[in-house]
Amino acid sequence: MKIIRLITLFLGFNMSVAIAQTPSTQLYQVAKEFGKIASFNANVKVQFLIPSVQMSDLTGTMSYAKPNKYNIHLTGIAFLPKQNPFEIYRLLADTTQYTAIAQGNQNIGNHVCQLITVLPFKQTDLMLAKFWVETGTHMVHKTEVTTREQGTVETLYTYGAKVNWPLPDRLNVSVDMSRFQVPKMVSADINSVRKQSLPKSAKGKIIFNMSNYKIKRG
Amino acid sequence: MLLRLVAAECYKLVKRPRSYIGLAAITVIIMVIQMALYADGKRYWDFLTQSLSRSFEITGLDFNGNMVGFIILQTLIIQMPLLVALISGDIISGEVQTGTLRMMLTRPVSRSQIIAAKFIASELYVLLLIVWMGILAWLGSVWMFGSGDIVVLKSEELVIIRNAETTMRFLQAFFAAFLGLSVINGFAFLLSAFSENSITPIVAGMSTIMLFTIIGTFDLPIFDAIKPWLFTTHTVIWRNFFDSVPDWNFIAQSLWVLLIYMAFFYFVALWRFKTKDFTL
Repeated sequence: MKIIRLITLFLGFNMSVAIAQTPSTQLYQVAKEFGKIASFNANVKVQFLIPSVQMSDLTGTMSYAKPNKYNIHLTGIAFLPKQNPFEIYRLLADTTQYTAIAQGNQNIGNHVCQLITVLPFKQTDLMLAKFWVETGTHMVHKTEVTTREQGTVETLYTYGAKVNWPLPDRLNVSVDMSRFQVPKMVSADINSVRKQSLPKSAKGKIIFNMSNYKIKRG
Repeated sequence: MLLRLVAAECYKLVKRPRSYIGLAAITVIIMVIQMALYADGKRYWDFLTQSLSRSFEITGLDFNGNMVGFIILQTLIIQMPLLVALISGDIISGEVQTGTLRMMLTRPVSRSQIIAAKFIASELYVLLLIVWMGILAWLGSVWMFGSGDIVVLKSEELVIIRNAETTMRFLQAFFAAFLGLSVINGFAFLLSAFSENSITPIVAGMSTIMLFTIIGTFDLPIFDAIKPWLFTTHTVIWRNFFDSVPDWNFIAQSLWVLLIYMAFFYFVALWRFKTKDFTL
């Protein structure tokens, strides 16, 4: 009897591990972890590393509320990603809308992550999404979201003090962009010298440094 | 004596209707630009930033007084040399043509004092134009539109100057613009000293400024060698105060070039005036 119990326990354990390791289940777990947050507020410092745009950092506040209410309040002109960085969690929650394919392990910083590619079933703006999910903690460390409208947006997530919650201390968002150019007479920039070597397209980076999270459990 | 001569020259400027053309032109241009931007400014920016707004959500890009002030400044500063040349080109030659200078030279004042007084009076006129433009274009626009960040449009980049830094940047830019226009004033003044009618120095001054500005606009290697020697290259140095991190060495160098040009024009005009025979 004891042996049968042990075998059942062993099989049950193995089965749960097998279920947890399917890419869809893993992504569902990611969404579930984030779903525990009803809302949050945080202070944010935004750095803009955008080719052909010179601007200083801005500070402000960032807020989020379930299911998809996201707001960032900054005083002054800011260049922000068009996508809500927390939108991916809503997408992942409904596993019937996409197919997930595991593509092996990769290191993002010091974290061993499983690369999971997501292909939506329906033809929407989203074409393809890649997630680097840390095995065991269900933390997303990197995403690459390709949409028809905006090209590929790559986001790196760095976690710090709030490691119990899937809320990053730093978000590094890279956006595909084309080079800014206007005729000299339009800009009245009479004495400027044209830089011949600039590429036609580039990546613009926006870095969000969050602090003082105030989280409401949902 | 010099002060009395300067006062007399200023009185002459005040009495001439031509002096008001510049002030009136500035007032009209500023009001037209302010009204146009008030009505359609958002569309103007949407057009200019459309390549960036495809990739980014641009927030806080509302038209404000600082931005309008900057646009007016960069638009007007190209036209203002012509308004300055209109007055300075006539300040000596006009009096030679009417014969009043000969009478003036019979008074017990030196030729150096006369030329200094005329130059100071024309400089005061330039200062008045700049102050008037500052009041209307910048302070007037801030009063109308409120204050905020400035977007400086360059041919290959955008520079965003935060609201807290704008006052200092504008004051520095107005000082540099004054120095730039003073060089134009000196140039027209020099031409006026060489001419015996009003039209020639005004037209020659305006044509030279236009030619130099056009050369500065073209990105042709043939012009690269001469561009640093053209005073119009340095008269627009005010714009460099609106760089994200101004290149102070380059700005200082340009300001020195402007001062040297101004001194050169003044002393050549002085030499010409002192050696010229007005009895013929």
